[in-house]
Amino acid sequence: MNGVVAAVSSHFDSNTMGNPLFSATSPVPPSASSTTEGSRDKKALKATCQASKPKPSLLAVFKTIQLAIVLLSLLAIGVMVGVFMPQEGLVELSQIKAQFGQWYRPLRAMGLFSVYSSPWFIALEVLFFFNLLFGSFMWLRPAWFAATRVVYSGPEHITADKHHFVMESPLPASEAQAIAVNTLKKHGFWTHIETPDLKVSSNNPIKTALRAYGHQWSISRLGPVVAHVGILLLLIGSLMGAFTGFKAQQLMVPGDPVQSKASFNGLDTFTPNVNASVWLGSRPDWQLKLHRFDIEFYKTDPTTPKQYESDLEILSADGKQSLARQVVSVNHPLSYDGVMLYQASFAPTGKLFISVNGKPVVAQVNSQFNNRPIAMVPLGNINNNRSLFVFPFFVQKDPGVTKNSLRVFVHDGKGFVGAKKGKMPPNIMVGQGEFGNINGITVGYQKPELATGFQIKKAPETGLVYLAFLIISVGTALCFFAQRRLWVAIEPLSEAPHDPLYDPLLKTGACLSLSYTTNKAWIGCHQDMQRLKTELEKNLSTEKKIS
Amino acid sequence: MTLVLPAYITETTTLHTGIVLLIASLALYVVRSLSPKNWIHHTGWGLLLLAIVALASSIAIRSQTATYFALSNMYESLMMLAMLLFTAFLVLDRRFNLRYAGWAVVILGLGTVAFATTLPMEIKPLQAALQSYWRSIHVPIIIGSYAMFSLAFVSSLAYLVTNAFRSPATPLASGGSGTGSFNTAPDSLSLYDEVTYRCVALGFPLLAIGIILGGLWANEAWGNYWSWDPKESMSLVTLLAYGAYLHLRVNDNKSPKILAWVSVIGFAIMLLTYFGVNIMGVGLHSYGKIG
Repeated sequence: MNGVVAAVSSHFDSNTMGNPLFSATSPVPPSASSTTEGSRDKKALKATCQASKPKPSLLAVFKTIQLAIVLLSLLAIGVMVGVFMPQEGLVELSQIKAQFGQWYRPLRAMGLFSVYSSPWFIALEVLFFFNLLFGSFMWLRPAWFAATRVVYSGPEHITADKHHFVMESPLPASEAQAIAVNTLKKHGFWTHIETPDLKVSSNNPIKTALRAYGHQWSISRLGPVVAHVGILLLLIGSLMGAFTGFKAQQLMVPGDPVQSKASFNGLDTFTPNVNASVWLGSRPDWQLKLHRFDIEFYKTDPTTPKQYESDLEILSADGKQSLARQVVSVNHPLSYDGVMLYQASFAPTGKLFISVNGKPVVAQVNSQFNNRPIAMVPLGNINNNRSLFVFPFFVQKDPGVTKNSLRVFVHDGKGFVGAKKGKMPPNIMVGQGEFGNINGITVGYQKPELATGFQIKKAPETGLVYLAFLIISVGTALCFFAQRRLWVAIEPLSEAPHDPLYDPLLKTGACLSLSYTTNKAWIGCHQDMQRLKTELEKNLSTEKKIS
Repeated sequence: MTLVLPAYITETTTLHTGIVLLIASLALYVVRSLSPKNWIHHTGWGLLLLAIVALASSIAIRSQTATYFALSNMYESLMMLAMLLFTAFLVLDRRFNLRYAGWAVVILGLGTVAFATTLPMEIKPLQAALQSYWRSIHVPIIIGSYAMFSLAFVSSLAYLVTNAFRSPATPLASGGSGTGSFNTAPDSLSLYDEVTYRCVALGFPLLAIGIILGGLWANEAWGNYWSWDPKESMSLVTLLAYGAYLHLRVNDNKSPKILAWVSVIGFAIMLLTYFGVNIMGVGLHSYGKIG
């Protein structure tokens, strides 16, 4: 076995990202080298020209990475202000005023109570947009070249590189090359082999070298650009949504001939995403009809609702034709004509379906007693003109209540019947679906009437935003990987042959030199290259000798 | 399908086994930082792997009892965080031999598990908004990113501490995008720098994708993919912070010391996102309320 000569250096290098096409440490063929030099000259010339100009180019400032970092930090601070300062729309205005007192006005003028729509936050977003726009496309070209260009390098360049190793093999150069390339493939490299020009090569040991280029995860070089394009699309999408989308809310009561229907001209709230004077969207002309609303509770835990369901139908403008019908529940919205209808909330309407002595009565919450809403149900001549005072309690609305129920008192116009000083007057609790008896009166509680709240939204940008989401995901995922490139040159171990017809590539014995580079994560790269080197040494010292 | 387990294998016994294994593993990782013996390294590593299996079994049994994937409150989310943290660490340790920082990771994870057990642990039925397959996708990915940022934090701390006590003769680590060196000794500064970077480089896309998936879910459940909800906003701040880290590292050639500090700040913001917003108990993400 031939002795293996390995030279490995461990110097530190300066940043190689300044020129993403060829790193400072990568071997660069003379032609490519001169291109780089040429561009450097141009840069120097440009710099000289710029120095003579009084104003720096605004574009140049826009595309700097430094601006990107400043903007990222400022945006982060801005969003945090929005988290920790009470925001209008989420917190009542009066509450904010009370909290900040005399500071309210100046803080409001600074936009601190509506950060996300404040001029300074929008200005930051606009700057961010242009920084991304110019910055990303500046990187596109070099990233594309770094990802796609196949470059070969000769032994003189490879051994000049700081990260290289050299080894000898008893095998002929062409066979050593085949083995080396196979080994590279096993290590996950895409390989390219230069076709040598044998006629020219015989007298020139440098040109006789067989050259190969290997690379892996080159596509990752496009990751940042892809991610940035995604963010740009996202910003464009949100702009589009702002000018054409809307939001609305509507409470509906099933069974009520009036409140179970709604048209877009009469919704509880209808808000275009931007000021109506500049809004470019339009209201749908169709109508909504609610057939049923139910809340299902867990059997094991009657205080936690399992699901809210609304049977919702969409009718044509004249209300005659059914266009769509679906049971809407949380996580299952109805989508029609680009408009989404979501199950958002519920609220008792104040109507209680009860029975008095077996006779159905619709009680209406119509009064207050000790600051609590009550329904006064006159008993008329059934019971000496007394009234029932009915206090309703609702699960999810009243704290500590585990079941919809009514607390019922009997009132005779002067006071509660049977009341004693310092004691709670006689009363009964009647749960939903139950009956109770007080003063000989049987009270049954069928159910409360509940209204269901819908959030209605049109977001025409959704498709674009989802596309942007996909592109950002792919882009950021690509960024994780590191591009590694390596250059291999294999020279035959021979003196210049005397016979002009002699082919040096078939002569036994070759010297392989390999240099490598990566755009990030150097330690992992060095480790892998050590493994590759060990394996190459093993494979190239194989006993399969050709005499 | 219901798996019938022996009576002594319960959520609690597996959890306790996991904690005992973690303590044993911690002891070995501490010894390992003093002694380079291989068997200490391998036993500590193996015990940590067994601890993950025990904790995962505990959560699996809990899921079976609850009849849903047990990742719906702070206890369960912290358990998931600890498991993902340990798993990622095992992979990194195997690759880079993190001899001097291992115990810190195990302490962080053990602390996470210990804190989790002080929180309400009873199994409750799922709220309507959480009954979605998105929960099993969105939450683990976000927690995965938190695990990576936690590892990055430990690694940055290791960097800063090692750097502070570095003898003047020790060479400085290479810059963020420098070419590094062959000095992959367990305590080398460049190794910590690179481990931090690797963790952030994986945590960042995970968080971005996690937020995006959350947006898709939110659009289905609440009708908006973005509501400027405190949790959403703080996640965005975390993403921006680590975005700044990546840009500083790849493109601005900042010194690894500055990068380590940025990673520490990023971790503080992550904690604020993870716990701070929950302590405030406001907004749409109030499921994970503490206490």
